[in-house]
Amino acid sequence: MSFVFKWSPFVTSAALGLTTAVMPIVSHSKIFVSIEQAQKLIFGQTVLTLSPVVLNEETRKKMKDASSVSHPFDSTHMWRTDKGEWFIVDEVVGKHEMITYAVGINADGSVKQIEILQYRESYGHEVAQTEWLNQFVGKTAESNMKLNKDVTNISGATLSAKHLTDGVKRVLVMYELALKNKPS
Amino acid sequence: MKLQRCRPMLGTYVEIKIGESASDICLETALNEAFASIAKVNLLMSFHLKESDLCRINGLAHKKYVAVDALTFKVLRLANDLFRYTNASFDCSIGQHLQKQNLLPQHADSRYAIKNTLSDRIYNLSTMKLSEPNRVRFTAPLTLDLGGIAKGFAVDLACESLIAHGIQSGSVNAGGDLRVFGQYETAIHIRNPKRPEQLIYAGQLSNGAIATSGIYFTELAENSAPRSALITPRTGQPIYLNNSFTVIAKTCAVADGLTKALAVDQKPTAEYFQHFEAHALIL
Repeated sequence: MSFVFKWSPFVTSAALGLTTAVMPIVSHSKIFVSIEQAQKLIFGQTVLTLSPVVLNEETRKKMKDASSVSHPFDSTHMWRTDKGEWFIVDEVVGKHEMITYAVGINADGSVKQIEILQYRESYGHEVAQTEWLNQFVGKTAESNMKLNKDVTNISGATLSAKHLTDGVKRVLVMYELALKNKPS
Repeated sequence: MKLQRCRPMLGTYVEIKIGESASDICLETALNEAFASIAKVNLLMSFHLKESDLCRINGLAHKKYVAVDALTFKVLRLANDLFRYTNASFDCSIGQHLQKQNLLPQHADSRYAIKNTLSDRIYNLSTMKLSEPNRVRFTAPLTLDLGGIAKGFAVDLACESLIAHGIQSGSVNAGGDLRVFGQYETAIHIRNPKRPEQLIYAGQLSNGAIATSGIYFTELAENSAPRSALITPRTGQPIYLNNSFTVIAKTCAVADGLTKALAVDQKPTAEYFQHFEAHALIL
């Protein structure tokens, strides 16, 4: 299969300040997979049983200290297999992004796989919680452009995955403290 | 679009999208293989993993030839080409300047300590010797950082993997280093560096790549000095411009690497863009 590289420029450096091409967005959201799909991606056909746990204050404090994540952990979205593997859905909130992800944990406590379920990007602390839910608020001068369909290829968006790394660290601390020796 | 997946990799979020495919293939296998090729590039070329090819050559190549994986060799050869054609405006031997700003870890090995005593003098990539098959030697104590092109290279490899698995159109986006392939033109947007909540429509792209470098997401710790991962290689000085530097090229590795030269020279009309059949934009 051979493809031909083709570039039809719309902006050039000489035409900066070309406001007609600017598209204001307040948030930008993508759903990748559902919880059920992520379960299949990580654990295949293995049966998962919903197993929420109640975390005591001491455990929560240790989780926070070890990960520096202060956003409250919702311990209701947790499943386990009969081999002691776990599937946990968590959310991380960064300065620019809010990410729902699933982490599969092997029976030995190591990370099996991580899948991003939903990615919401936004800017500034002033953005209210409800606005996060609006997928695309802005309008474009390119009036025929369908935002959901077309605003997908964005360059210059190097968001670090550090918050997610911290989130996974917190989940693993919880595993050690509350899940590891839990009888099924 | 048939399918899209996102996983945390390369220190950012990697998104793979599949448009069309041959009818008889397993899309999940194609996706997993593409993610696996990105994971492989990370294992070989990460500055953060002490056993990576990159850390091994940074530790040993100033003493002897070091054998590396064919993929690492390919990236180093491209780095050499970019260095030559951009007259040293692209130079991936800037690792110690990033370490000074704590943007890269200081490995505790004594060999790094020895090199750091020499770091006042600036050596460049001309002291890297590549020898077939897949061997690397430095004639000066260099600290390479492949952050400037390995991410783009990983994107290219993932696209090649998808195509080899029967995917006819799709895209791979690693934190803004993006390549699209297939029959259709795709709209491309660049974040406005002055107002990151705005996107600028940059045109239509097919079978090509785009990469953007800028410092607008380099998060600052409170009360810390400003930091920048963009470095002028000749002086070792960080670049603090509030612009972003975008390059569109056939491959994402070339696009990624050329954004660094563009940030240094700030000249979108430089001849080397023609050599690499690339287009440059400063926003």
